[in-house]
Amino acid sequence: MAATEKTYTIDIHHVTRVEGHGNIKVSTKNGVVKEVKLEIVEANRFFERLVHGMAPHEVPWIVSRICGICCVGHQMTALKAVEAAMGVTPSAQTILLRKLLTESQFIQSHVLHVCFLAVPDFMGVPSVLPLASSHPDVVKRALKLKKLANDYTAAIGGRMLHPMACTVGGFYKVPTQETLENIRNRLVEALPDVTEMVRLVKTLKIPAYERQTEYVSLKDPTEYALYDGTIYSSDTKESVPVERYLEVTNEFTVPHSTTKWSKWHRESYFVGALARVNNNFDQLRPEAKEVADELGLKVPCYNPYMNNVAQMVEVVHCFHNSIAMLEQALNTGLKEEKPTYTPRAGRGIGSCEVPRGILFHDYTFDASGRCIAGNAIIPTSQNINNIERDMEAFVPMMLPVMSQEELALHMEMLLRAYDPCISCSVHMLDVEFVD
Amino acid sequence: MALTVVGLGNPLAGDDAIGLVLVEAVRGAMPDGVVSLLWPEADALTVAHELLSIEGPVLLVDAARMGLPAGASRLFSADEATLRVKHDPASVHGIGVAEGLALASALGRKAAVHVFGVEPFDVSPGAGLSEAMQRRVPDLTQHLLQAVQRLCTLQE
Repeated sequence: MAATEKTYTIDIHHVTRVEGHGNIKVSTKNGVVKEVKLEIVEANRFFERLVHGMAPHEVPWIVSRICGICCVGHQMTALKAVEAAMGVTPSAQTILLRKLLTESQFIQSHVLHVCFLAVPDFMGVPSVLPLASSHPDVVKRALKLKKLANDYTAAIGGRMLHPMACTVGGFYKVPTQETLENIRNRLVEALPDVTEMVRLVKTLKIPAYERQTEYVSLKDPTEYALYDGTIYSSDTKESVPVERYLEVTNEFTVPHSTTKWSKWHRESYFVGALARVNNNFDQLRPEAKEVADELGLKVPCYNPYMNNVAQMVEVVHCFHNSIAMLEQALNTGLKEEKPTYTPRAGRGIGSCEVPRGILFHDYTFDASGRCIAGNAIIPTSQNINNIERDMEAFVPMMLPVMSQEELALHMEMLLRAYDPCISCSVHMLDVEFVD
Repeated sequence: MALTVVGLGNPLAGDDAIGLVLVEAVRGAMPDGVVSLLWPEADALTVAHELLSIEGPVLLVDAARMGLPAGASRLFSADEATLRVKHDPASVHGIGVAEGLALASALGRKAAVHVFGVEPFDVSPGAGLSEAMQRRVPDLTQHLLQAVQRLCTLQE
């Protein structure tokens, strides 16, 4: 069929292998694109209202429930926000343990997404089940890595899901030397499994598509920024402090999405593994840089499908960095602390990188220490605008060479490449009535 | 080969913890050679991973929506459950338990997987079983022991 005759109507209701409900609508007539829309139809969950009236130390545990995959990230970010509001400075030991927890979550989430949700797309199979037959060794290794990451989170945080060991100002209980040694040894033993995963990712056929956009991530002068930093833009090559996050996210609404959209220096921006690797490549562990080179990830990279490759690079980084941090903890030894704080009035803003990108939490407390305002802006809500811009650019580019079925599949793949967490992306619309 | 009985569930989701409670309750009364394990809060991929490390038949004890009256139990093979759940369009970050079982099977696990399912009354967040489920525990414990005996007999 000639491109000028192509009249497609693609209506993918409820995209699978992503978290939450999103629909993709594409309409072309006689080779001309009429409509490209990514509809988000999730309902609000009102977490920001739920925390009203809560004590500072209760907030991080509650908002951890925003996401079962990024529970550590929500907890870390909320802890930082609450500590900023309460004037609490955590110890170096606490920060080290939080960084370990953060990396355990990155390994968990990235292994799950790359191996079990994204790889089937690139290998042309509908789910991980056919891969289990064709590549059983790799899938078994991936299962082992996922289990190891779960155990790693539990070892540091007290349990795998919604850790309870962390609180405002420290940890109620620190892991024993034996526990740290066990995790360190298992991470070292699993390095060959990571290498096999890299080999698998190397075989994937990544669609050749590029669109320049703004990449936004945390940046830290001392290390590859996951736990802390300032907000960096690839457009300006400059950072702003996290306290100015509202100048970055600039949230606005569109009729077809219950998720608020974001934009900064241009019409949309990208957060997540590819943004981090693009912005902070030099600070990756040497082993991760080698893997990036092996997988053909050269920065700056403008192909959103390469986000999954960037996730693999971060798995390698987190493995080696975790081993180094665990060595540090073993060498210095951990001591039990008695975390405490005095409730006071104040506002605090926290930001961490979570697997899907930069996350912001913002809480205000009254003089009795009760929460009176909350705001959480998660990575997927920042990405949704950019995903739709990618779809808008992709469809006319590929319309001449793709059938309706191929185009539909690539739209789904594009959405999944961002590893979106759609349920979490929907947060409360603040309405202010002017008298 | 010895039967392994595994309790699954979330202890912070009401009756979802029934699998853990029942396996804990029958531990001392198991026939010789039967191994009992608890996998609290295990996601589907963890279930698949752990199943691969068990060579013999497995009985998973878990809360299950089966269309039965609340508090009722049923013993069935995992294959039946897989067929039913595969058509569920919901897709979250993880994969479903049935898909986790299918994954273990696709990865070469041959031995049978049975499920002792208990229809929950209430799986709302919160520690502890519902009062109605607590009243059912003595009967369910007996039913589970009978199921274990039956599976052990079938293997002989």
